[in-house]
Amino acid sequence: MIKRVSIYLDFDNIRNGYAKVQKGQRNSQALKTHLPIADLKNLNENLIKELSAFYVKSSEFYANVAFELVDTWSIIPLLDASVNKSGSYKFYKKISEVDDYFKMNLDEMYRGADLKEVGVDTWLITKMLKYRSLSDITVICSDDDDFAYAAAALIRHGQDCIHVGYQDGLLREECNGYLDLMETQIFSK
Amino acid sequence: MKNVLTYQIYIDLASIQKSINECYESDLPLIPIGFFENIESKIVEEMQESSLSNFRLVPRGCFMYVPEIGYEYKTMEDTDDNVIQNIKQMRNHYRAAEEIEGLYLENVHMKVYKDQTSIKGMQSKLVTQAMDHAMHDNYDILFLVADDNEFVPLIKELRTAENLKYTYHVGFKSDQLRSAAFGSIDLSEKVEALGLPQV
Repeated sequence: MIKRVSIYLDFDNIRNGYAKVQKGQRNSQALKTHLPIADLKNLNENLIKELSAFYVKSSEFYANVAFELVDTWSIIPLLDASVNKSGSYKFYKKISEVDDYFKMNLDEMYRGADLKEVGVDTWLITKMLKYRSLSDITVICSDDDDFAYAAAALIRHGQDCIHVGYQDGLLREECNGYLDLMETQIFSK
Repeated sequence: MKNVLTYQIYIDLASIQKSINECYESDLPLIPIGFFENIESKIVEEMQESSLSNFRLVPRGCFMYVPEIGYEYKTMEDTDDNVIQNIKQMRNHYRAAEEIEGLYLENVHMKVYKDQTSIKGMQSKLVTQAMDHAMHDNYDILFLVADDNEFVPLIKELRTAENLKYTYHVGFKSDQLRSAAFGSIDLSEKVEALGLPQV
């Protein structure tokens, strides 16, 4: 038996969560730490491994189930000259160059004049809903409770929805299960 | 006999409120209920002049998203009382719109932090429901009453969906949203007809 998995990575949200953990200051506002590229390259493989272990732990039934990745969706800001000196620019450029390695359906998004990304959450939600029939399990890597409504809609549709993140909030509560990034090796500590 | 097209209307209170405030260059604290009483008839009227005028339009619901005080606030120590009061006031005001036939108030349970003034959860719930209804083919035309570029991905997705949808931006501004949509209705030309005071 095969369970098809789709992963949705809310890049900057997880990056912030990771940075807070790295700096040990949960309420810090200015965060610069980036997710390790090596971990991103292995993200799909490691997530599937952790997910499989999670299901097997919940029931022996899953011992014979194969977990197959369908797609990984993420979005990065499309940067312009005004920000090309920043560390973020170098980082995103590096991701664009290596995205073949971590097999993501990357899209690009213009930053607004205030350098705030617009439409990242709504972009991910539209993809989750549009491609829901292609997978049995939707993995939402984010600590943004805005995804709780999408998770509820997917569960109503008969999918499993798994939260992957650092925080215990509304999104985790709405999902069928969760992987706490503090307790996994997905991103190096 | 005319062919039939079904439609749904989605209203983003937060961005429309902001546009109205900018339009008046002052604070009109909350959108008058008359706006919601008139918006659907003005949209249908406008469509009679459009490229879809040969179709008979059938309503499938108008949805607006109102913040509800969720259980989570009660446990938050740093919640700003003014923010809570504003949301309560907003909630009580818009409750009157529940009397309007075909208009549904959708609750958005929110977390409110100190100094936070934006209402993010409303957008994600709107997008989720609009996509969900689209995937179930519950409408042919989406009228999005909003002025926020956060909705551009929704419009783009619906325009390229397998069961293609007509998308209309209904609002005061937001050029990106307007250019992404199939068509648009400029509300700044209909201020009086919508029950808003004259600028």
